[in-house]
Amino acid sequence: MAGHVGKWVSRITAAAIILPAVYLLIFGPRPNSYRRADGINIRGRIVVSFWESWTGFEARAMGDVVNRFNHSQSKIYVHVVEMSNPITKSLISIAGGDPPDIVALWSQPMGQFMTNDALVPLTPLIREHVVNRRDFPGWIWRLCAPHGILYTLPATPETNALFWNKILFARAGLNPNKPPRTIRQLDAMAARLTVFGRDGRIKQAGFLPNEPGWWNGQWGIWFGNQLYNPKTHHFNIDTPQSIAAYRWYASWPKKLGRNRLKLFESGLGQFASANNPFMDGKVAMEMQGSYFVQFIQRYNKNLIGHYGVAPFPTAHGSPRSANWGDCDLWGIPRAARHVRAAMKVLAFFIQRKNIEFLNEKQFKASPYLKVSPEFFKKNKNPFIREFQKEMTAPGIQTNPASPIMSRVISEMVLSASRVWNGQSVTATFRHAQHLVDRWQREEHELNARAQKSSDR
Amino acid sequence: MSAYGRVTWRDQLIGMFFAMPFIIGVAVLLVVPLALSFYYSFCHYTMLTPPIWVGLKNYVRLLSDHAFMRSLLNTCFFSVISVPLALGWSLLLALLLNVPNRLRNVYRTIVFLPSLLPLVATAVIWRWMLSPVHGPINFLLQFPCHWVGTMLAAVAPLFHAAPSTIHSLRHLKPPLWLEDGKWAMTTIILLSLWGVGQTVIIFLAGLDEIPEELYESAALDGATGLRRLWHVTLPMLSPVIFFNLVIGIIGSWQIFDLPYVMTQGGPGRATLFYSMYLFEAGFQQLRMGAACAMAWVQLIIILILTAIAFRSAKKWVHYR
Repeated sequence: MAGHVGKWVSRITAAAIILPAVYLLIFGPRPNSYRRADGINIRGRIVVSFWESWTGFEARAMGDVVNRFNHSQSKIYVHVVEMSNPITKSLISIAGGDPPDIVALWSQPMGQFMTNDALVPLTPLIREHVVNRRDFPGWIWRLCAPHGILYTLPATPETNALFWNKILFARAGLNPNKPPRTIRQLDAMAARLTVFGRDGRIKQAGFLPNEPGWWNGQWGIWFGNQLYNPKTHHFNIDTPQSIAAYRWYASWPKKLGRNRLKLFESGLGQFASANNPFMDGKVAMEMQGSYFVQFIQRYNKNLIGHYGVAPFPTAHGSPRSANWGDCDLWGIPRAARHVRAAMKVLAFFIQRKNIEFLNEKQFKASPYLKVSPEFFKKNKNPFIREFQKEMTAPGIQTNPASPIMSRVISEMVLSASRVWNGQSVTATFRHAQHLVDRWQREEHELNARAQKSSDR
Repeated sequence: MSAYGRVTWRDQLIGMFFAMPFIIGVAVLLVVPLALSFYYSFCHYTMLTPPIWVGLKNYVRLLSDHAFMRSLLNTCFFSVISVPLALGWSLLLALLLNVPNRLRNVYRTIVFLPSLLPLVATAVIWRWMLSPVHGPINFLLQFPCHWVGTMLAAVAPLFHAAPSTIHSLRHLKPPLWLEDGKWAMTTIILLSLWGVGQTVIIFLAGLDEIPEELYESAALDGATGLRRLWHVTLPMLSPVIFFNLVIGIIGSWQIFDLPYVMTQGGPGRATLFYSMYLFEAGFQQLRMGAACAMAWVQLIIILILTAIAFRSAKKWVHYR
């Protein structure tokens, strides 16, 4: 009897679970998989996946351009996936045969992409007169079309400049409207701007080459070094100019005290925060790009109007004769599913008005040589004209499309950190040169082998 | 199975059929990748283009690769110091936690808790804790450092210390943990002790297994606490120590996340570990052939070390 009751109890329990589940499955609410969060119905559209790494206001600006595209037509829908390090991830996804349709890149790994045929040539866009090399500065075009074939389109370019804090200049008895033009002047001003506490600790630094430290592999440029010779394909690492640059770099811990400096640096705040050392007055002069203006406006409004932007000083004192340029790029990975649709998206992105919109929102200069008057009018970056002018500066160097470029820069940065910690500048950079020369030889040898086996 | 209990071909096929998911899984996810990685270790392979056979070049080049040698030495140093240290520390904790106490379970939970935290979160918290300017550790250390430094500076002239030594003693400061190349490795070793909770739990299980009678007879023979530890606890616990030693060796050669989050291998290459360089070579520099060669060298090193441990086990591990 008890067994009979138990059977019924379990049957009723099972029915109580299964019946509502079946009802919900048949009649229950279901998400509309065709309607996206932005309200667009994607039924019948080709969905183009776009991987990019911007966050915050930069991501919002890109999102606005994507929205413009999505609303401008009814055949393609661009789905943006924001992620960290999309370059490594897209390389792996290409290897796995499932890449995105569009990927945001920057120039350093371009050589790796080129050597491995990882991008689809964008030559149809030239044929259809969507892009023209005469519209862009030479260095931008070289980034996009290494070896003469267009593989990427320029999104947001970047050159560097000196940012200086006028309040701290005035406090140190310096003319707040006269930034340094030479490295020697920079050193002298930095010495006057550096403040020590009673306990001997650094309270304020005039300048620190490690702040933010993003170009520690490229200091030679401001001393007249040509990092890469495109004619000989040779990296110049231990040239007298490069050695002079890193002697200057290594002089900072000697001047300020290595441990004292480490202690000071370890207390500096994050870049994108109100504790950014330039914003909170811990460092008086800094090398930065145009985007930094927007960060200042966001995190320290009190500094607005109290800082200046000028070409970064050079060893020989001729401003605009040396600078490092880079650019965010858009490319279509090999094995992308929707190449034609992705080309249409890129053709939209690269339209002058959209490029200007994106760069205006990101406070950056336009990659186009000719810029509309509205671009300057609408731009909230008060220094945008200086940055736009810098785009055509004669001395801009940038990443060559060499497959070992990432390794070269890593080695340069490591060498810089070694000389910072007291190792001999000449020996360290001679060693780096030796290593880089060897990598180039190995790469050359492997390319020859690959060529041979593909010929077979 | 047949009526007489003999396994027929049909039974075997049915058995194989049900075991197929596992067999296919192992073959596809383990055997094939292993074989491929062995092949790629003799090739120039970027993942994006077909592999090019280069023979032993990847292995030979490792010998002249400074970053590789540095990562090898760093990992060796880490393994040699951290494995015995972690074993000793976790054994000590287990012995303390085995002492009968009303709050024993609370203490055990406290010791085990750090192992439950994600390693990345732990690393981020420790980065802040060890910050020389904002971190609480250096804040607490600065006063003892000052006192000890002042005292030592006062007595240093008696030992004919150089004026520069006296000066640096007078200004003795807490270490710059992760910013100083001389301290960064020590810091990583010390932090690796943070997650010994699991090892402690295994030791505690081993301690529970030791028969009480052995301690009683040792006590009758007049053995005191330390002698009982040396002659009863440690020999009886030796299989557990051995297990933790082997696991510790393998783990130490695979260390990645803690230094990757805390130092990214720096300052310089002071904390560049083997697995970090392998990852860098394979996924950042696209030298997958070299990375495969490194992975095989790593496997061989771990195999040799484990074999040595097994050989030595005959002398000091006592199975009941």
